[in-house]
Amino acid sequence: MTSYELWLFLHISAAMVWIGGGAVAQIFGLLAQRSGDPAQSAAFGRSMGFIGPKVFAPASIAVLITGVLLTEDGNWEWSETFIWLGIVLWAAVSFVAFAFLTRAMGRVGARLAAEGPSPELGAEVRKLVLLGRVLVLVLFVVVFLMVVKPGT
Amino acid sequence: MTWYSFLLFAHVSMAIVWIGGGLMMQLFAVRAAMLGDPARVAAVGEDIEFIALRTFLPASLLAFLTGVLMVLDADFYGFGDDWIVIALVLYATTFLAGLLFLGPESGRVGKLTEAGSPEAGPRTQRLIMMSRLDLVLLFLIVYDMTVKPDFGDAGSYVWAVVGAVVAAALIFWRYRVALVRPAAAAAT
Repeated sequence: MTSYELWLFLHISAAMVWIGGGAVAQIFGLLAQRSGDPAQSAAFGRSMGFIGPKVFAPASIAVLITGVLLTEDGNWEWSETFIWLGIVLWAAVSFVAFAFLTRAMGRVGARLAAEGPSPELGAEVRKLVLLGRVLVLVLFVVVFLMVVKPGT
Repeated sequence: MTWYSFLLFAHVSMAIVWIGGGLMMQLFAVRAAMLGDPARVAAVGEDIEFIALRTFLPASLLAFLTGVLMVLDADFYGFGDDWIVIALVLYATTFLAGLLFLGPESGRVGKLTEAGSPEAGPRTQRLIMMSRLDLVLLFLIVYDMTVKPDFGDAGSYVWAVVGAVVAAALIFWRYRVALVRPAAAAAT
C-alpha cells in the first residue's frame, strides 16, 4: 500500500462519515417531523447538536487534511478546477454547518424539550432540516467533482 | 463525462449513503440508549428498520449494480481480479447480514423495548455490537476498493486484517462492558 492509497482510503472514509451521515440524519429528521411528536423532534435536535461538532466536524477536517495530502502526494495541481472548487464548496458547507446549523439544531432541540411544541419552533425545525438538505446536496456536488474531475 | 465516470459517481454516492448512513444509525441508536427512555429507543428502532429497508437496501443494491456495470465497461478490470473477488465476498456477507438479521432485528428490538421486555436491553446491545461489526466489514470493502490489492500483496492484507481485528476486539469489549454495566449498577 502506498501513502497515496492510504490518504485516499482515509479521505473517502471521512467523506462517507460526513456526507452519508448527513444524508441519513436528514431522513431521521424527516421521520421525527412526520411523527408529530415534539419529544422526537427535540431528541433529534439535541442529537444533531451533539453529532455535528463531535462527528461531522472532525470528519470534515479529516477530509480537508487528507485531500491536501493527496494533492501533494499525487502531484495534482492546485489550479485544477475540481480541487479549488472542491475546497471552496468544502469551506462554504463547513462554515454554514458548524458555525450555524448544528448550534441552531441544538438550541431548537433544547427549547422544544423545555417549552414544548409551538408553531414557531416547528417552522424553525423545518427551516433547519431544509438547510441541512441543501448542504448535503452541495456535498454530493463535491463528490461529483472529485469523482469525475471535470477539466482534467 | 464518460459512462464509466458516471457509474463511478453513482457507485461512490451509493456507498457513501450506505456506509456513512450506517454509522449515523449507530450514533442515533447509542444516543437513544443513553437516554434510558424505552419509548425513545423504540422510536429509533422503528426509524432504523424504516431507513434500512428503504434507503440502505436500495443503496447497497445500486452500489453492487453500478460496480458490476463498471467492471463490464472497463477494459482494465475483470471479475477475476483479486480485489473484486474479495469485495464481492464481503459485500455478500454484509448484504445478507443486513437483510436477514440487522434490519428485522431492529424492528423486533424496538417492539420489545416498547413492551418493556427485560430481553430488550441485552438484545439492543447485541444489535449495536453486530451493526458495528457490519460497519467494520463495510470499511474493509472501502479499503479493498481503494487499495485494490492482489493476493500477492501481503503488506496490504496485514494492514487490513490488523485494523479489522483491532476494531472487532474493541467492539466486542464494549459489548461485554455494556452487558455487565446494568448488572453492576443493580448490585450497588
